[in-house]
Amino acid sequence: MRPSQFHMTAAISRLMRRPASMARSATLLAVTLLAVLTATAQEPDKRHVTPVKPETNQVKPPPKGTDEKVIQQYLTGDSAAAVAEARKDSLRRAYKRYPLITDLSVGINVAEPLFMAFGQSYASADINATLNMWNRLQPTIELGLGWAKSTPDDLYFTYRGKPSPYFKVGANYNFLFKSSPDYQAIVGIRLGYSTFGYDVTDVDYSNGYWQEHTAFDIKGEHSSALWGEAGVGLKVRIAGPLALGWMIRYHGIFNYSKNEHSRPWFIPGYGPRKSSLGFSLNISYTLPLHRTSASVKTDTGTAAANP
Amino acid sequence: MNRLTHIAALLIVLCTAMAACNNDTCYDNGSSLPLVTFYLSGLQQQVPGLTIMGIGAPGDSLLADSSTLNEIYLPLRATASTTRYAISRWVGIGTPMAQQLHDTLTIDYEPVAYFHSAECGAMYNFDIHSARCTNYGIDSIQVLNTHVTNSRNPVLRIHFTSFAQ
Repeated sequence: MRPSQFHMTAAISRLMRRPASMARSATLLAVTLLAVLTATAQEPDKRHVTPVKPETNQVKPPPKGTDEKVIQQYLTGDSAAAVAEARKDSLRRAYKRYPLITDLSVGINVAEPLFMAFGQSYASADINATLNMWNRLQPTIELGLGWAKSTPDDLYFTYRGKPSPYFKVGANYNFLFKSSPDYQAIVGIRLGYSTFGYDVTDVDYSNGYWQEHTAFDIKGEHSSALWGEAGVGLKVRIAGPLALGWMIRYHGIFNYSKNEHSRPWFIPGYGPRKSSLGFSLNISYTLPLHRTSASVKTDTGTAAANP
Repeated sequence: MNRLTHIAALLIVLCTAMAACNNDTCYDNGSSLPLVTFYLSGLQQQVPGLTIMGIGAPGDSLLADSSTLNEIYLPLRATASTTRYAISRWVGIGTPMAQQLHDTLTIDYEPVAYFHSAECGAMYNFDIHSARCTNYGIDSIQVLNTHVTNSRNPVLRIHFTSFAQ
């Protein structure tokens, strides 16, 4: 028993010794007190006191980046629509969507002219245009010229591939479609076609056994080729609207026309007929085509400029 | 700037690698030579005592000198439409009946200038019109392919007469 309960019980005992009317009052008081004490004495450790702050009319500002439409919906009391819109808004920020026509890149492939400077005997150079759709799918066309001149040291002939056109059509897929178009990791396919002419001249034929020595030319040969390519590459914005991209391409010929006196060695846009790998190095200029493509919302609500 | 340096270094390495990555191996012959195979008793087998030369070859140069062969490349003349070969064969070697049998093989053809590839170069192919021979030690000949290229496929088959030892 607590000390306070002991003192109360002693007081009640003293009152009990007084006259009957007072005794009844004292009994009633004692019962009441005992009931109160019993109620308050149960499980004293589990009692909690929750401070209650007075209600205020203070309005907290919405989180940064919240769409204005959501705020208005909350203000007009349409909380369900606001919650739905807020969810869409957060998804939009997590998965950025670029417009259907994000941008157009016009470029020039300088890989093989560069290789020629390092001793390669043939080259193909093209101008190309790539339409960036949703920063994901990129249809592309390439128009170019290819030429060759090769005189192997120990084979006694000169192959001249006349400058001839080629055409490629295909598409890229950008794996980094959620990120800025400044950085792209792409896979691509192409279908290529070329019709071209070539000469084989200064052929010096000798037969050791019969000790024959003769020369001949094979001139005015024409051929055409259809081929396919599949490649992987990267594209990086280097300065302003200028970007540099490269792609390694595995290719194979579907069909080419053979001649009675020769088979083509070099195919414009493809390279040597027996090769299976190609490389492109593209310097491109990007034109933003969509009005809103210049500002795509980021997670922090700031604007990121497209190239 | 550092990033540009890395890109430039990578490009130089790629340029050098791609320029050097040119397979210049010719996996076929450097010339179009008809491959002739030798048959005895219906089977391709080694035929002993063979001497073969082109008729009119400078210095009477021999293609085979008393050799044991089951095939041989016979070079055709590019400046003519007929080439003839003398094929001599020893039979009954090691017996008192040993003798050398002399045959002549004649091939009529048309040479065709042809550019094969950058690796193998330009050469003459040959379209064979006919092939014939005498029959002292040769039983028969068989043209397997009338178009002679630099591939290693047999063009002509010579069946030698099988003499009882």
